[in-house]
This record gives sequence, C-alpha cells and structure tokens, in this order.
Amino acid sequence: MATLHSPAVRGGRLRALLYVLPALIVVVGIVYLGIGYNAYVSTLEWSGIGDDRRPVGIDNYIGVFTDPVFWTSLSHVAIFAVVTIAAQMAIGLTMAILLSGRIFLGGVYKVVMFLPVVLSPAAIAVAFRDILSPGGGLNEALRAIGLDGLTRAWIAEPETALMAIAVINIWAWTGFSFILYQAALAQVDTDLIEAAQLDGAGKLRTLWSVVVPQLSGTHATLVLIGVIGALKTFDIVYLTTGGGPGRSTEFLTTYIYKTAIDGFQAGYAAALSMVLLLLSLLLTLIQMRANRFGRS
Amino acid sequence: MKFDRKRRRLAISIGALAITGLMLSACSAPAEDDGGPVTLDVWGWNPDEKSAPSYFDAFEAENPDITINYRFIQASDFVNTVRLAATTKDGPDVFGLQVGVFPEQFAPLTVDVAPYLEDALGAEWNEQLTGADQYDVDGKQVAAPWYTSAAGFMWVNQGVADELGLAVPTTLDELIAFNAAANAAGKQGLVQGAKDGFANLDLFQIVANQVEPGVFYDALDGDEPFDGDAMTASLEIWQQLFTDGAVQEGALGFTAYPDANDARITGEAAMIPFGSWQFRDATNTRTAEYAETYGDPAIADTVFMPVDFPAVTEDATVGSLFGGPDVGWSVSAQSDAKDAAGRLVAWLTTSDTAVELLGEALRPPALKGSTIDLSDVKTPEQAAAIESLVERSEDLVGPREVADPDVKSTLIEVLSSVAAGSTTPADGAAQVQAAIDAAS
Repeated sequence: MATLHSPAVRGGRLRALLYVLPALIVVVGIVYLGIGYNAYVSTLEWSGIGDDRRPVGIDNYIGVFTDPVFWTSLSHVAIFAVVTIAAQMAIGLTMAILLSGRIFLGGVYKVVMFLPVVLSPAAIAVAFRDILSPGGGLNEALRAIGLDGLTRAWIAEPETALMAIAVINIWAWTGFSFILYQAALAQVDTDLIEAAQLDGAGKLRTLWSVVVPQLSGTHATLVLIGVIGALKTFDIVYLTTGGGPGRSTEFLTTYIYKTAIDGFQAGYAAALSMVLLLLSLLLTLIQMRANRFGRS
Repeated sequence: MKFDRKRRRLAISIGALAITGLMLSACSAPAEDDGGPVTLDVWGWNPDEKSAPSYFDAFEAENPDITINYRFIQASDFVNTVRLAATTKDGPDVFGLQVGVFPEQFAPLTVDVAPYLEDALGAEWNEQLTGADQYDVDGKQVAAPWYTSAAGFMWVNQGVADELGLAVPTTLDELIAFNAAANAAGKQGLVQGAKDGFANLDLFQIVANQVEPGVFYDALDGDEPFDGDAMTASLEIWQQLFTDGAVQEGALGFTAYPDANDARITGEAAMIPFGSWQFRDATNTRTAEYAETYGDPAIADTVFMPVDFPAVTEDATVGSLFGGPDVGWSVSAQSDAKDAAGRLVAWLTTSDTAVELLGEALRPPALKGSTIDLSDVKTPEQAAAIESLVERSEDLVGPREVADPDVKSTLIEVLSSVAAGSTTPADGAAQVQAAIDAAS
C-alpha cells in the first residue's frame, strides 16, 4: 500500500501538477498576475507608454474617491443595474410562466425570447442606434399612433440616453433570465402547487406565495450576474453613446477606457479598475452571503 | 515498440512540459538580421489598403534591398494597437503618428528621425517640412510629417442644394433656414457627427476662430483666459448651433464616420464641416468609388464643393483655417532595422516619387513647394476652390489638435455637455480653464 510519502504518491502528485500546469500558467499568468500588475500600476503616475513611471503611493486612490466623474459613473451603474435587473427578472419570469404550459408554437416563442442573447453587442448597438435615432423606428411608430409629442432623439439627449441604454440591455438579456426561470420552473415541486390550490389559493396567490419563493436560488443568481454585468457593461454604452452626451451615460468601464486610452493616465485608470474589481468582489460576497442566509 | 505504463506516463509528462515550453517560447520572436535584404513592418491607418501599394511598391522599386510589409489598421483601433506593439520587437518598424497629444506620449517609443531628414534635405530640413515642429518633443523629432490637412470650412453636396433650390448659406440665420427647408423636404441640411469628440473640436474651432481668430490657441497655451469673453461667447454660439437647428436633430447621437459622412455622400444631407482630407471627393475617381461602395450610380455625378462655413455672428471673421500634419511617420525604437526604417520615412516624406503620389491623391505634401494634381477634379469651380484653400493653408491660424490629453478630454466633454444643455457655456469655459491651469 502506498503511503503519503511514498515515491508512487509523490510521482502521482507530480504528474497531476504537470497535467494542470498549462492551464495554471494561463490562469495565474494572465488573470492573477494581470491583476497584480494592475495593482502595481495603480500606484504610479504613468502614461502607459515609456519609462516615465513615478510612484505616487495611494494618491490615485485618493483621486478616485474625490473625482466627481467617478461618482457620476457609479450612480449611472447603480441606476442601470436596478432598472435592468428588475425589468429582466420580471419579464423573464412572466414569459417563462406564460410559456411553461402547452402553447401553440411555444418553441418558436422560446427561440424568439432567447435569440437576442446570442447576438453580438455590436450588431445590437448598430440596430438600436438606428431605431432610437430621430428618424428611427421608435419615433416613426410614435408618430404613426399620433404621439408626435413624445418623439425625441433618445440616445442624443441627456434626459433619456441612460434609460435608452437600459432598454437596449433589457432587450438583449431578458432571454437569459427567461431561460434560467424556465429551467427553475421545471424543478418546482408540483405537490406544493396542488396543495395550495386544494387549500383554495388562486393562480396569482399560488404564483406569488408558492412558485416565486421556490425560485429564490434563480432570483439570487440573476441578481448576482446582473450586478456584475452592470459593473462590466461597456460595449453597448461605448457603441451607442460613447458615454455622452457630456457624461450623461458615463459608466465606470467607459471612464476607465477613456482615462487610459484617450487620457494617457494608465496609473489612474488602473486605480479605477482596482476599485471596480473590489466593488465587484464586495457585491458578490454580500449577495452570496445573503443568499446563504436566505436558504438557512 | 511497446511502452510500459511507467514509460508512457513519463512520455506524457515530458510532452506536457514540452507544450508548456512551446507556449512560453512562442511569446518571443527571433531578432531580424541586420545584414542583407530587410523586411520592414509598417503600420498605419492612412494610407488605406487600396492606396498603400502605390507608395510602397514605388519605394521597393527604388530600394530593392527593402521589402515592405504594410498593415492597415482602422483609425479607431490604431493608437491602442500601436501603443502596445511598439514597446516590443514584434511590433512595427515604422508606424503612422498623428499630431496633438500623440508625439509627446509616443516619444519614448521612437527614434529621432532628424538625421534621416537631414540626409535627404540638408541641415535646414525642418524649414522645408510644414508642421515639422508639431512632432518636435524636447528637441527630438518623433516623426516626419507626410502630408497636411486643414479644417475651417465645410463640404456641400451641390446636388442636394440644387434639388432643394437653395443657395449655400453664408450666415447662421441662412443656415438655420436652409436646414428647416431641407427637413421639410425630408432631407437634412448641415450634419454634424457630434458623438465624436474630434468632430466637435473641429466645428468649435470654426466658431471660435470666427469670434476672434487665434484666441482659442492662445487660451490653450495659457496666454489668454479660456473663461474670458471670447471663449464664453464661442461656447454660447456653439450651444446655439444645437438648440436653434443649425445642426441636425439628434446630432449628439451621430458619428462623423459613418453616420454624418454617409448622409452627405448619399444625398440625405447637404453639408458637413469636414476639411481638406476630403479633397479627393472632388475627383471623378472618388465619386466613382463612392457610387460603387454605396450602390448608387448617381453619386458618380455628384459635385462636392468646399465652401467657407457660414458667419456665426454679424462681425464674424470668416475663413480662418487651422491644421497641420495629418499623418507623420515614426521609426520604432524597438526596430532591428532602424536605418532601413529611417530611409523609408525620409523617402515617404521627401522623395519626388512619394510627393508626386501624394499630389495625385490630392493630399497636400508636407514638403514645401509641392503641388497637388487637380486634373481629375470634376469642375473648374471645385479646382479653383481647392487651389484657394491650399494657398490659404499656408497661413494657418493654429494647430487642429490639442496637445495636452487632459485639456483635450475636458474640452471634448464640455463641448458635448454644453451642446446637450447640461452645462452652461460659462461653466464649461470655467471647466476648460481649470484643466488648462492643472496642466500647466
């Protein structure tokens, strides 16, 4: 029998290490070393080019927390997260319930619901820029039904641009919520539903008091993914408004990009990135903890 | 031959190590040999893939020991790609560089090209190249200017103006009236790609130079207050352009390329505030290309006419042009073939062949005394207008690009938010002034 220190066990461990080594190099070398290097850069005043690196300690972090654009961007992310997560969950759940029974062409509806999820953000952005332009489909539709007064340049006005981006995101990602809820609904204990109905609960009451609570794991997953997704949102914003007009749709990611690429402030952008990373980790931990408490 | 289990495991382990080693070694490439024929990697956003061979084939014909491997990169991706690649030996030997914020930022990644230019033009080389000083960073010539561009005017799609039966506007009121009439006819008048910061900087400079020529540049240099009367008045007029209908509705959601540019080429819009980099639009060749690209044969007959931007105030000074080098060429400090790269840069910017090719493409060469070839221009009126603009370009009121990245980004954000009405002109001017103060 092989002991812990026997050559056979040691050889087995070595072989196991060799098998995972390529993946380990990629993960550690690219992801974790990248984060470590970014943390180092965040302590520098550096353009990102050349050797003009000057250590500034935590000055960049102090700058972040006193930077009004950072707080503006963060508030946009928060508004965007609340609106998109709530809408995507509500629409996704509603559609999942409506399509959970036997419905004519139900498969087609499901494909239609999920299709936007697989579309490229670039294609979605181009399409919606056209739809939301002053002469685009949305304004044409409003004019057609006599609501000329509501027409506007949706992504070109600060009052509507952020909500316009939220709507695009909701359209693009509701299919994901729908699929998760569909899968979760298939696992719902039907005995409980029957028992509730025998006790006289109506459909809405059954849905609200029996079905929805059983989907708590899915709710938590969607909130978690939604929050992280909101913090990471970049492509749709960059391709539709570029963060404008002014700063009206600036997100943390677009601000980081502009700071590093257009502003040649790699050190400050790295500090912003580290704050974004810490925010993501913190929110993830809070939600995982909350979900665990919920289950207990 | 049969492997036993132990040997097979050993072979698999060695294989895994070998793969890992290969992955690591793939990250580095062998250095190029300095002796013998040389291949230069050249990266640029301009010339494009279609026109690049004319320049580089001609260079190879005159320099048979050097082969050019040109990589075209879209302008929107160019800076980001080069800033990383030029730090390694795997990057370009020669790359294109804009003026403005870039020479100072890219200076550490380049070698001084002055010796190559001195070889070609003599000791007074910098007096023979327009805008060479815009690539001078603390005495180091970061790039050699290739050709120049000037802005301060607009392009009119004459077909649209004629179809609408409207005269080209010369005042702000006429411009607003033109736009309203165009809208009533289902078209647009002046289109502005106001989602793009560079387009807003161009149009704002037109306004500012009409209010008081040159003060914009003095203010950026700290010699005049940006929050003074002239710039605040300029920002007020700038806001008016958007609120009073001098540019199209929803302009802040339009990109300059492709949205606004497509609109004026396809005849959906009449005017656009672009500069001399569009000179080729006046030629038969370019309009034929547009006709093919946009699938509309009628575009081949379109006359694109450069005209001065309408006066934005009663006492405006119309016609000031601003600009400088549009493209310059740098030699990478990481290049293993710096001398060959320097020869290419000097050839592109000073040789008779390259200058002639630029002239044929209606790109005014940076080399002074050069001419452009107007033989393919559609109408005598267009040719006269272009000739006049080239002549006026010799007396530019200031550089087109802003040199400090913080000031530039602040100015871009201010222009966008003032246009959107979320910042007042006075507050916007104060923000830019604060950025100028911080930069100095």
